Amino acid sequence: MNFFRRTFLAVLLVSLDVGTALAVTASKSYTNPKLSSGQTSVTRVCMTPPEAQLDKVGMKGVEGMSKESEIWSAQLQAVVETELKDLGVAITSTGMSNSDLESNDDLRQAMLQIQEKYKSVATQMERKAKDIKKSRYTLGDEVALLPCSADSDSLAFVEGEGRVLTGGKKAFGMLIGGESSSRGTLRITFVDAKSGDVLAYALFLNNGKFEDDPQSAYGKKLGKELKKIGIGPHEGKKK
Amino acid sequence: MNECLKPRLRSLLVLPAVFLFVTPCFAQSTSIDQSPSSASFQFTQVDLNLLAEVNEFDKQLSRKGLVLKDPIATAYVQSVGEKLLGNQPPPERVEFKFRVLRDPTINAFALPNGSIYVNSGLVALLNNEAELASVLGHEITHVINRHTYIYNRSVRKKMVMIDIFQAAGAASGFFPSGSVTGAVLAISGMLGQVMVVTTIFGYSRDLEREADRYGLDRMYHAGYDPHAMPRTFELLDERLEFEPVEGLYRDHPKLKERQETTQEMAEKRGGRGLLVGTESDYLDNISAAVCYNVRADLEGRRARTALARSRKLTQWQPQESSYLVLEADSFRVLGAKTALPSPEELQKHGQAEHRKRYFKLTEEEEQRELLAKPTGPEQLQANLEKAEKYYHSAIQANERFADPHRGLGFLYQRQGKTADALREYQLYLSLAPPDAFDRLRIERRLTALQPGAAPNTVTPAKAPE
Repeated sequence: MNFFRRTFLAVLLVSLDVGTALAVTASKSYTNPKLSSGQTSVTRVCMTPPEAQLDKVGMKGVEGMSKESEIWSAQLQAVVETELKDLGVAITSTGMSNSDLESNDDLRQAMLQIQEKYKSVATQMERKAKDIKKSRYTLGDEVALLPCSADSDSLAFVEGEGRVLTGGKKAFGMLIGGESSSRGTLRITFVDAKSGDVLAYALFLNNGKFEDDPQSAYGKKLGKELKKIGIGPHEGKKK
Repeated sequence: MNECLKPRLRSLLVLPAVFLFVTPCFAQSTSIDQSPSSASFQFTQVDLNLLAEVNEFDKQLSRKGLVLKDPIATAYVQSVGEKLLGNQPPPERVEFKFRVLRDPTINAFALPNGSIYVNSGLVALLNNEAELASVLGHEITHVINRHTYIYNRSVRKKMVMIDIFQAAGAASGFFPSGSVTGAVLAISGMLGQVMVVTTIFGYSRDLEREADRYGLDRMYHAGYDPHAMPRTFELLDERLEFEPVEGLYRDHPKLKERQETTQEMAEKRGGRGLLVGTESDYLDNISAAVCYNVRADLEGRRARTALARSRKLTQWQPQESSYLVLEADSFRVLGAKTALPSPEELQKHGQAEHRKRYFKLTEEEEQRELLAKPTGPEQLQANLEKAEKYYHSAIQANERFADPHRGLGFLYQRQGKTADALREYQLYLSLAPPDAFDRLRIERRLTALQPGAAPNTVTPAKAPE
């Protein structure tokens, strides 16, 4: 019996270690033909304030991580901006930071309105993301409410969602065959700054230390996926 | 700045469930009964951790701009809250603040640090001060009776039990198929979890009942007619739209039951003749929140609700052009939809169908589907005619007001009346302030409508406007 118990615990510990070491980022993306055909391009992006939420999942239930979520939001935005800049994309969201919005309630209202519209469209889009290829989703020309849309060819919406499991919960998940690793999802949507059409939607899932180091968790994959989508200037493509 | 003159939207909040649920104890008021458990409440480390999390969350609501900034509405809600508190000192680690949240969901919630938020969706639904007091009285009880802390402690304990039952269920897999022990473990694991979850919701409902009971007492002692509480529950049962989040009130006792119970309590308590307040006084203080919410409802595909709330404003001040524009906008966005749900839509099946369509179809696809019905075109025509009428009334009331021209532009463009649309857009641009947020949008439309414009410059047909 002792032998079985020891073997079982050893297998469990090894699995936990292997699980952590094998942290991977999976990705999936959908592109509007307008972008893939080169009819439109994403070269000047206005970043809307990111929305990200982390939850701590332990044996005693789920707890909020408000402070960590706020930090994570800013980190995710930084990662996305870095990768976009690497692809030659200009970030045009000057004057759209949270502190700018805090001091300008009219601008805040416009931003909330666009974010609300985005959420309304995202309800269907997340359900059937492949229809982006059919140009099915649009926020409408309301996107022009954001002053930065005058100087951009697209808007980017960055969203994050993470479930951070405690050690006990991970071990318990391994034991009973339930949830046994933390998971962080990053979603980026590019929207045409004039028509409001959804141009591209990319989804990244990481099961490692995404909350501590989003750059390592998402950066590399993000760069590759954005390049694949066709983000950035492309000389020679049909305009 | 007039809250009606600019479009604005809430950001849908996904609040940690624990903040919305609360538990029973008693207030320390001399005139209101006290819960023995709250009187002897002692903070533990778990409570302090929760408080720290809540304080951070509270600050973020402000930082994210979700708290309505209108000074009149804010002062009003704060004054009603303070009236309900009387001279009672706040409990330890509580500082009462009463605010309106930019969120069209019909809800209110209390954080255990004393911050009480009434969503703009609920503020817009209510009709007078006493109804607002009934909401705040209920939420104050949650704070004073430490419901959140007590509920949180209870849930944490129960989650451990759920884990144990899960483990029992998983252990059944180690036994051979068909073994009695394995079957017993599997069934007890499953049933155990269900039972624990049921007790969590049951406990939460008990806390809601308690908050109703003491909230009603608090209203009475503050000089409000307690009969406003059952009336508020009646309002909450409004079914203009389907409930997008299924089971939003799952933790609450059924509305009908709450309405009947509080009606009985109010009858026993008396208090007819105490302050109710008029709708006019209420709107005088709270109209900015209602205006905000109409815009939010229009963005969130709740045109029926937007219409009902904007009508409230136009009935109150029929000559106010910004309210007339809101009503016109509501009719325009309503499109081929009826202003009120049909009897079929009110049935359970109809609600389910509505929900299915909401998640399946975009706003434009839903409108197309409605137009394909025999009554669709007629309904659209009727709504657009009403919209046009109200836009013209708004211009009559204030000919220097730009917004009705923008609305007319949208309407004519939708009807294919390009020349009229061009004229209205130009009028809008000539009247709107130079820094109007909509200026760029209208300029782009104008350019796109000009003869010889490149096709697909903008996509007004797809835009919900």
